[in-house]
Amino acid sequence: MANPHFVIVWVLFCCLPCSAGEAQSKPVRRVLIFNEVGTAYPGINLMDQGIRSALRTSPYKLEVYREYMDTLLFPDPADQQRFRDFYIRKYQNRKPDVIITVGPSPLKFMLETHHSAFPGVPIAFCLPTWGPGTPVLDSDFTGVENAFAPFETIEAALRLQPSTKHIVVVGGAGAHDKLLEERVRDRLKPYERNFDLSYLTNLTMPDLVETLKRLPNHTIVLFTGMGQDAAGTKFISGEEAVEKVVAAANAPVFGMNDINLGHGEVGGKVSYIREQGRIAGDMALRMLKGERPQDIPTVRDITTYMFDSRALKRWGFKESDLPPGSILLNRKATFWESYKWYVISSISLFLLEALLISGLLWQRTRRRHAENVVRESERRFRLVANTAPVMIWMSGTDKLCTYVNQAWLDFTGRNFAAEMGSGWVESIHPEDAKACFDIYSQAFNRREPFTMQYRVRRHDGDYRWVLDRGVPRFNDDHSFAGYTGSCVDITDRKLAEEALSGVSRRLIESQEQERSRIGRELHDDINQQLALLAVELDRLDKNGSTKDLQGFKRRVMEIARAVEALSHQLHSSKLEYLGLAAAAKSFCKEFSETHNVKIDFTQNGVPRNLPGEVALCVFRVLQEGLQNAVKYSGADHFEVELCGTAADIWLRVRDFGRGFSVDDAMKTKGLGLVSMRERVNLVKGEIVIKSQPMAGTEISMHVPVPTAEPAREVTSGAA
Amino acid sequence: MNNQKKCTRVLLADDLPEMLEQVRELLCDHCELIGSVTDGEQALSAALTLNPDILILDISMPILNGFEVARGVRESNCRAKIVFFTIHEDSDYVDTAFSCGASAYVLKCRAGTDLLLAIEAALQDHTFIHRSKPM
Repeated sequence: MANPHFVIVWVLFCCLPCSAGEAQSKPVRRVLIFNEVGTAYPGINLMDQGIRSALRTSPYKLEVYREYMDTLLFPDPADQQRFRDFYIRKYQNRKPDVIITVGPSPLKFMLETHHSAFPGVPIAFCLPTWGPGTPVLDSDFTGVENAFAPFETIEAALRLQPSTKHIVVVGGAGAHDKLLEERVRDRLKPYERNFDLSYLTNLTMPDLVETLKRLPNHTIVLFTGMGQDAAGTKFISGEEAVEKVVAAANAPVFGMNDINLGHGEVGGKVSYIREQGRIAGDMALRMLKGERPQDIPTVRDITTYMFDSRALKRWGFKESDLPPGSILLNRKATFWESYKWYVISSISLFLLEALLISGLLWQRTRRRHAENVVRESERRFRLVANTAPVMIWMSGTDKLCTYVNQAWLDFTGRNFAAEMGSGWVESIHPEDAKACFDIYSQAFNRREPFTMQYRVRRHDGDYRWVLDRGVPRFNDDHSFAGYTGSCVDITDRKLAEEALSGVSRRLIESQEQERSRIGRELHDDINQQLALLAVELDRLDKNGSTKDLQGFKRRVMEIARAVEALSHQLHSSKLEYLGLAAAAKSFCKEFSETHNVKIDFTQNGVPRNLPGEVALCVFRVLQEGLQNAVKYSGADHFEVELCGTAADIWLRVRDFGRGFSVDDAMKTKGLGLVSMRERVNLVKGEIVIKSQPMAGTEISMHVPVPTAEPAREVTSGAA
Repeated sequence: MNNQKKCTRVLLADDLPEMLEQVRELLCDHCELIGSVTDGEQALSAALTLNPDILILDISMPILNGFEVARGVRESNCRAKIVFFTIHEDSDYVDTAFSCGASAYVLKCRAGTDLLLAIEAALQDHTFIHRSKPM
């Protein structure tokens, strides 16, 4: 903030040289103003204001000299002559470039002396009040003639007070007063017929006052001015007289000079003194610029309608009844006029403020709505996230964790705060942590999705494999917002994959074993016997005995039996031709003989013509169950129970041996249990394997019989 | 047996044509072979149509096995004697065959010695069985 004193000094400093230079460059012109009276008279002041306002636009540096004839204070012609002589001598060596006369005496002074005292100096006059005989002005003169409009004033008064019946003209007894009265009488003659027109001009002020107090109703007063009353009392300022008149009159007082307004006069079409001064000043300026006086025409009738608002109000006159273009003085501005800009500014400010507040409220409402939407969206997200069966996490742009869902917390058994930031890494298996963080970090830097597997410590301390998929998040303006990811526990899947891989391996191994066995059977048994038969046939060529033929026949039958046995092992023809019950019973019998164990076989209600896949499934489970029992139970006594209806088949194989852990057996042992389960699943059956160490094993299966082929015959029996 | 040649009408059912030929040659001098079929369905149909005296049935045949054909014949009015002619030596087969109404059970490997005996026994309402191993 600059120091104001410094600013003022700086401005003056900048302006001074300029003003000085300007003053030096402008030519000097002298203006001499001769006034009728001194500045105590309001009319002289008004006139001087008008002259100054015109001279203010002068392109010259003006030297203005004001002189006063003071004819009212010094009316003696000898005194006036001394004044004239003094002024002539005063300006003898300081000639003015233009002279302005204000009032009749200065004009008369110039008329009589200007050729000798001020030769060639142009003269602008104003405010002359001509006496009898209008003087002849030469070519050095031009100016503004004073004018009075009593008729127009009465016209305006009658408009304001239409009920007027009496018109009273009040004036003075001085020479100038009489001059005016004469003119007024001349102008008001048209009213004599319709109005009671009277003149109060030869009264002393006290008599006048008394008279004015008793004026009849419906009267208007026209005050022409009073320099002196009938008693010779002078009213130098003019205001003194008008104030007395207005104070005394019980009717509205109208006037003819604007100088009396403001002292109680209502107004009228008044002589516009200030404007006359301005025009005279303008004429002087033009003459300074070189125009000749004779080329500037004289101006007349500078009057205007001018009224005093307070007086109008006093007499109850309406402004609307005033002539158009009237100037209204002392008019008390209305509230609107006084405070219009304050009101407009306040209202504008209020509206602006209201607009601003409305905007802020609207903005706040929008923000709240947006916040509610975001809150609702976030609530839904958290609800979804916390009820989702997967672990969900989010991170910010700094790679640090900002959110994990309830599933994550349940899984790790840690609290929310512990997982934030880099806390989640604490749950990662030490062997996986580095690789995990590297994948995350590289994908993060490239803003790419990623998938990785790692082990996370569960709440019970076990490390579980999880599959973690992360995708980058972006804001509406496409700026990066972080990552969102989800994890699922894939431990069981991995184990299943491993188990499946093991099953496939064992399946291949089992297939190879079976091929080897068949191969050995074909080679070691059947092929050997065929070779033996070939040898014996060769011998037949040489011997040809019947004994040899019997031997060949026996050999061939043995081969046939071997082939049948092999065929039976691969596929039970009994199952096909004799049915499930017979095949199962036969198998149990053969199995018990082969392995030297006891099998209690019972069957009840098993349909003979079961669908092939159902019969084969039950038969294979029976085979597998007994083979496992012999292999692992260590027992030598087994129970096989086969039951059936037209709709269902039940099989139960039970031993009383060592038992085993079913889960471990499913994972680690051969195809037996897995294949049983898969076979049962294929026919939409169920299998339950119950076994506990040292508590024996029980395999129970149930298979529904499809209704497409209803059972026709039921057999029953026991081994 | 020769006297019965003209009156013993035999129907053969086996899915192996060579086996049908061997049996035909074996029986041609002793029986009237009225037909031979290669699956169980034809066998049942021919039996019901031709009403033979002897129906020689293999067990392993397409569409219907020998047991099913035998049950079908027994459930009809056909009075043919059923002789199972098979390679199955297991007693479960033998038992099943007789439970299905068979009159004889002959192993193919013993056709030359047992088949005519089995037919003759069947014609006389006897049963014939050769057990290659203890039942």
